[in-house]
Amino acid sequence: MKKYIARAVLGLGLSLGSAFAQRAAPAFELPATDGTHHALHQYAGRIVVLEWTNYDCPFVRKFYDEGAMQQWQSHYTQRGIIWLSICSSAPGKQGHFSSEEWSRRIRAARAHPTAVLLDESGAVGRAYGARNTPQLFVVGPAGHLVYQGAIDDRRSADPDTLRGAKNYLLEALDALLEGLPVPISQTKPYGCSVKYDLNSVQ
Amino acid sequence: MLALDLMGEVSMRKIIFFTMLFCLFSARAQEWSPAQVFVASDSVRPGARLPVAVKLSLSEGWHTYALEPGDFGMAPSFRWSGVDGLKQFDWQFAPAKTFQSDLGTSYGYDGSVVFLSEIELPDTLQIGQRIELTAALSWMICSDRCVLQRDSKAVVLTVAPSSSPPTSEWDELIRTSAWGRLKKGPGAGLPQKGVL
Repeated sequence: MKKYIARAVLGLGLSLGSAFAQRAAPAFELPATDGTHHALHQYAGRIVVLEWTNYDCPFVRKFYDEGAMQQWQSHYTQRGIIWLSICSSAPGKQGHFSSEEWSRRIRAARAHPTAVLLDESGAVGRAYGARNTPQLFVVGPAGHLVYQGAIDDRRSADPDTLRGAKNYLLEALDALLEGLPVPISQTKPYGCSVKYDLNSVQ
Repeated sequence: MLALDLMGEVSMRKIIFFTMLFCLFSARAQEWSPAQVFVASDSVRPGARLPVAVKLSLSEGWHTYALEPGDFGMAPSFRWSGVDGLKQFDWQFAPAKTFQSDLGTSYGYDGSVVFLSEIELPDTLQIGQRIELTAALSWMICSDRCVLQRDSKAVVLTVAPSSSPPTSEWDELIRTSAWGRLKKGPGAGLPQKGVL
């Protein structure tokens, strides 16, 4: 009996995972820090990484201060993947900067995304259900969300936890580049809350 | 007159400068939740299990997180070191408060919070030896933004034939914390427990 229940639960989980994987990535168009505009449809047929970010969030800094995120951005964009960092911090909230300050921060961090997009209204973040920074969404070539969740399995802002972590994002991107199914399509994200325009605690 | 005006201008600049400096340090101070480390006894026998505690004091509007922090934040990490063979047991977490927002739910503590654990000293220690133990502390505090806190605290213990009774400072810590209130209440819930 237990075996059947376990199978049913597993089946339900897979169904939910499949349902999630079938979800079309919400369309959007956002301004970038350099004044250009980027729409998801212009990258149709490509693998697109959407990285919700807040450069002052300690969980985001865990990946940037050690140079890990920059290394991944560089590695995967060189292989044709589009990497869009998106900031949904509202004006006056942590992580919200002017375009000039963003340019300075990106240079200082030596970040290599395709672009950093500004979502001040939070409309795109909410359409995706982005709750944390960092939180990652991967859009497959067919325009479906094929991964969403945490970067890795170490719920900590301590850079020491980068070593030995199971990296869900890299596993997903490597699988996609090889034309294989993404091994894990959804995980629980961890980090700061996205600093939307609302009066709330985290 | 000109000299007086110039002096006034210089003084005003100094006042503005020091006011800005004060504001800067005040802002930074608000982002810091001091940590204190306590041990139950000053003298311990070789092989003894010693109760230890970490107390975090949070400024108004800030909170830190429980072992299961919910949708945001992270559990604190407190690790002891100092002598070979030192063993650390599970940290105990007092019942947590719920912090609800449009985006999700987190669990943790505001005000001040005490975390309890025990360490076991190696039985190879020599009577009369003085040992220094260090607690490496890492915890997250959040209000409308989050700040990672890191600190390191040392305590010195004397190795003796028998462990001394709990210090008055320890008794006061327990009495005035959630742990003291838990012990007083009939049928009080067990603390959340886990390994960090």
